[in-house]
Amino acid sequence: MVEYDWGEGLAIPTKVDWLLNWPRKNSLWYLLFATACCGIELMQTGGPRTDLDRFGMVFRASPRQADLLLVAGAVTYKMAEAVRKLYDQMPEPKYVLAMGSCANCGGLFQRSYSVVKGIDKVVPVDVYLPGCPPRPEALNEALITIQKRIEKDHWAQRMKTDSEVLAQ
Amino acid sequence: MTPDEIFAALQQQLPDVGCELQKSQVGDAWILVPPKDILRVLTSLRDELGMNYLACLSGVDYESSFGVVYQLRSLAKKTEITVKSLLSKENPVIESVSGLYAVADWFEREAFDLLGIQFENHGDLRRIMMPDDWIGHPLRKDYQPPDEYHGIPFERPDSHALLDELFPRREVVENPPEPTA
Repeated sequence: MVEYDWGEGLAIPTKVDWLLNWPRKNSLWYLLFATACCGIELMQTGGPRTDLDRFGMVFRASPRQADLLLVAGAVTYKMAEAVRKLYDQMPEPKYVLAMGSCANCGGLFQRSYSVVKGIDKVVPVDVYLPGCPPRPEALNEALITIQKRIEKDHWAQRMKTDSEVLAQ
Repeated sequence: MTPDEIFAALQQQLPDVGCELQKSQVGDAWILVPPKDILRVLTSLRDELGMNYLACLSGVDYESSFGVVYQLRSLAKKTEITVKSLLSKENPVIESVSGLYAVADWFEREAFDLLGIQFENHGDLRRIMMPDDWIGHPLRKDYQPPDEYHGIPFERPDSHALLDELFPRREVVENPPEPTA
């Protein structure tokens, strides 16, 4: 980056996308949605060894303050409507991480009458994390993958497109 | 007290009830009770023989009939006894014991939810685990899951062949076996 003297104070020329994406990827607050044993690994990932705080990730108990829906565990058909409701309450931009085999595809419960065969049937998923349950290191990797994905987003363009669609 | 002693004491209390003591190859013997007399038998077991704790109430699909299994314990005497009742496949109805044991309230709702066993005089016989608008009773052996629930498809369309190979579907039994111990 080159710094220019614009008279009063300093200005930094940069891309709007970069300016929006950098704080977003470094303050990725995730919504706790732990329904099964993956939730234990999720707690462990928040603990001192992998320590999500150093990425600026803090868990939120409310969807209205969350950027990332972290579905950890099996979701039943009864619960699926709650997942959809939480997702709809989250403000844009929002991301979804399907953690563990059950959230990815139903996992062990392929022949079950009650478990949804993958939460991508209910909400759009950005990153699938395999494992039963995945280790904290794997979850860490998946969250860094989401950060990398945020870096490539073009939110300024997308908001412009959205406003054009709304205007029509 | 052994199951034999409990059965003998029960027959003394209720000589007109057609109870049977069924021996099992593994585990303890259990008592088979006609469905119409279940309330009298459990009342007698609780009040006269001290079986004050209903550890578990389960519904079973034996294919030729439905069953309800009551596992009773006496905390004071440190004994336990299993009581079973067989219901017809067409009309599985039995008297509720939630008035005797308060814990039977949710057990019976579970048996109703998953197997469709009707408990008379229960008072609040609703589904307890499945959604209220679910169709059918999922733990019945002849249960066929729906294609979708509220727009969520039931199976992943790309995984049928692999699934059938890995986990073969249960074959329908032509002549279901009689329930055994």
